[in-house]
Amino acid sequence: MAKLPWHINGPLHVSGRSRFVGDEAPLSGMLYAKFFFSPVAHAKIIKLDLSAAQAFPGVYAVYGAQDVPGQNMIGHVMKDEPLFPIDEIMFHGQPLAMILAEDESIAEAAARLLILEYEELPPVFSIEEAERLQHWYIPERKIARGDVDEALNKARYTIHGQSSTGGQEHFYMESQRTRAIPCDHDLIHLLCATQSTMEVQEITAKVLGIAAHRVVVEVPRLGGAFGGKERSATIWAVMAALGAFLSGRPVQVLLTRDEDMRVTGKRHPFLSKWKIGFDEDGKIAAWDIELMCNGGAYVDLSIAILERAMFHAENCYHIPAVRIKGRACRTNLPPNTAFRGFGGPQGIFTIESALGQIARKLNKDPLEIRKLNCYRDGDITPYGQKISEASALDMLELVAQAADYQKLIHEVEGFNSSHEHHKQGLGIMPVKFGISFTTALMNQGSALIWVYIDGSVSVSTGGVEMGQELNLTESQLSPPTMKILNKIPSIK
Amino acid sequence: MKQEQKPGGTYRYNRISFYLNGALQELDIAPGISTLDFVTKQLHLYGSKCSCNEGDCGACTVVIAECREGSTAYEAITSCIYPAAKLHGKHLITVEGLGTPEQLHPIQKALLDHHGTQCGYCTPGFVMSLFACLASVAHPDHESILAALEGNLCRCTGYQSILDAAAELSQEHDPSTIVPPWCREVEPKLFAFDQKPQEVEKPCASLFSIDNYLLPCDVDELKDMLVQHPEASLIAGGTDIMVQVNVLRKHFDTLIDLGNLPELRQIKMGRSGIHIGAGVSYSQIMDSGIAKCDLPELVKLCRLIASKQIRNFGTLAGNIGNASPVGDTLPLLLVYGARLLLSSQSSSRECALRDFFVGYRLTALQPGEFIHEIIIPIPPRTAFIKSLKSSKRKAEDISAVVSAIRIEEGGKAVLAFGGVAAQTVFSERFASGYSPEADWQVLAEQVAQEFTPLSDVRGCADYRKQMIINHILQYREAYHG
Repeated sequence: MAKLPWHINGPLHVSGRSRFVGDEAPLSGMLYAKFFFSPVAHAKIIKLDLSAAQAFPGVYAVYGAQDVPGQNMIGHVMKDEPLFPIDEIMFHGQPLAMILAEDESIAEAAARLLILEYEELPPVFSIEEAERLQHWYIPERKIARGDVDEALNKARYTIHGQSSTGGQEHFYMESQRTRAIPCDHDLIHLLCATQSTMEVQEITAKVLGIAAHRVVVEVPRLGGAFGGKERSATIWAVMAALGAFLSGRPVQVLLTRDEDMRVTGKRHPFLSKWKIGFDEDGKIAAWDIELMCNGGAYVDLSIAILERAMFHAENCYHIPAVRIKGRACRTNLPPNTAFRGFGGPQGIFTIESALGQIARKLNKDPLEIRKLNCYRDGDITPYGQKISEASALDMLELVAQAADYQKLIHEVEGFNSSHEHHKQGLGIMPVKFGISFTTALMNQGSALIWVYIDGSVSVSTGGVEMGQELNLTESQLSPPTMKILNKIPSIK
Repeated sequence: MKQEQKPGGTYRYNRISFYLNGALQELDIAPGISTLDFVTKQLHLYGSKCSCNEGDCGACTVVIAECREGSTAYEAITSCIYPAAKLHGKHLITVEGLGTPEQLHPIQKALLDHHGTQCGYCTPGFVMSLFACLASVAHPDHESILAALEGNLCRCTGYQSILDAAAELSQEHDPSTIVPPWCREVEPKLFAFDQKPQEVEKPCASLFSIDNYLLPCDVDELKDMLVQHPEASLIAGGTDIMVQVNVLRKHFDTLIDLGNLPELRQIKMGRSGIHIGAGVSYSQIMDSGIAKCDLPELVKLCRLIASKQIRNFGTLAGNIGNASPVGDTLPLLLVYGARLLLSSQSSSRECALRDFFVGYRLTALQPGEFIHEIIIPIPPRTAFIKSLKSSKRKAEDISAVVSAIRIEEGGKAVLAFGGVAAQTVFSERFASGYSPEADWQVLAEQVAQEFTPLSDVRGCADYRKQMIINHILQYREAYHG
């Protein structure tokens, strides 16, 4: 194989010269933002007293819902998430006010001086509790194909089960941050650690009550995101923009690791209840599943994540009769959000755990059950796609062969029979992952390419470099002129 | 936390001298600020990154060179919890010093060649951890490389590309090509260094968590400082105090740093046992021939404490003085029968470690006193001594339950636990119930009933009771083979 070219940013990264938002010289006159985070998960706000913080030396201003010039709304898919809550606190750690000060330590000290009077409301944290109260953002979603009830009745064996997966912290190494710089005519320039430049622009404009073209969003690069800066970066970008807009000074929002972990959403915990029908060989005839996710306080991307879990609920297996139901639950946790796989892993986990149980029930190797049920050409998925170029079965066989699966199984069994306290496990599974956005209109992109008088070229796209070597890919995709010039274009 | 603290006051800065990437600097350090804040906010070197700010992730790793016992040690440290005042008399090496994009250091080049960098945020920390490792040992093996990197988190690469780069470096380089000439040139200057740190009053618009950071130069000066500031907190490595400052924003009026005093940084063999000075780091213990030979279980346990970067300045004395109920080394030190030499300007006394802990985070240390050294009697070779630590991760984690056992040839046995009570304690039930014929299973269940542990984030009460039983059964297995 030819040697891969270096990461364009590589020499900068390894020598500590690459630029990240906030890890750079402060701007002259810049104010530092810190927040008063809700100390309670669910409550009615009676009064938020800002006066002591406002009077603290070195504090420029304390802003809350009353100071928002446009809409106090950062919800995107559904308009359910305020920038600052007015009446009802929805999660522990929700920002209730922003303190701007000349120094970070002063902003932080002043944030401790706010006094919140509130009336506590019963909080909901679990999927079970939210289900009982029917706290759903939208009505149940359903995908169905074939007669599941009949297939379950006819099946030689059925298993009823319940599976759950927990939350997960993104732990992008670079915490949430934005620098906002006010310019002429209410133009706001944002240096922002976001995966969604377009969303930041759109929502900032609405919150400030200005036109979208007044908001410039620039992302130098991200120190990791993993989905955690797809929606979750927006609120911090808007906060910085609001501070700069109101104060006329540059403003930096930079969360500490502790703040970040406490107040930002995580991977969606899922709970699923299912029935699976199969024959004596392990061939699956019916799959009836309800998927429920814990979306947190606001809808965020929960619907799309739930749908992706539903689209992946059969993984790579052909099942003639399928019924997949999904419900996204509102709870009083920080709004859960995109995270590597975007619901896919949670959907796949359920069918894979069911397959494991089938194997145990029939006393067969789980790999045999998986191979038996793999999609073949011509099969139809629950959502009506006809499978072509099916490769999962071949891949499973190749992997098993390359890994010497039978030998490994033998070794694991030997280890387990000779060790009382330590046990080993072994498994091979396929993973299906649907590429592209499920909202099809989003599957488009564009680039702005400038060729300068001296022959140098610059490429601007909405893509965000976060370690995936996007800049290198873009330079490789760029027109042949750049190859002729044999120069690295400037990528924005 | 002092609520009345207002900006605009004056602070006592530490005026220190040190080498930064080869060049001598004399600079004023705000009281108690971390090396990371100092290099980023004051020196505007942004290569070292702040990610967790509590020493767990390693993105802020820098290397410190200092002379010790006749040679120069190059050690990686997590700069976010390393007080910058400690840099006095040392050589601070940051990622910027090692190479430039145009002229990369071999480590930087290898990471690039093996695609060991993706988003780039953790990369400078990996570069510096590898630098310390390869500057100290020629051709480190895989285990040494893993140990050097266990304190560095990367969320993008999955580590394999970084390990591939490290393996190639280990094969093709040794300290002669890893340590640049400008580092070698500083080495003799570190030996000749004799400047004293100063203090200067300066106004500052920021608020600091520490009002006053004192740097004594020798033990006499330390004693004088303690007379003047009897309520001062003592800081050795600072790996716990700095986390309290960074994360909990805990306020300290005065900290006195005893970690830099040469006479407290020695391990000596004495008539009553092995003397470990209060400034001795875990890494020093792990490297010590005396400790390896006579206290092998302590060396083994040190390997499970925090990460390489933290072991390089965290101390045994700090673990004791901190008196945490889950202090990793405390049960083992108890079964060793360790004693402490406690000194002050007016007196010097020995205190058995078991009498030192008097309650939750409370010790017998009197105002004006400091832990001078830890004295560990050398156990007979026939004694069975072992320590076990249960935590969620193998490295870089606080114990849920930690224990140590000692069984003498004659059949006398003691067992001590951390994480099951408000302080580290001996099990009375075990000491009285153990005999060579005793049923360990029965004894284990009785010992579990002796304690009423708390439930917290590291484990619930039932889990901790189960760990008590499991530890004892593991000791049985190890003892009987």
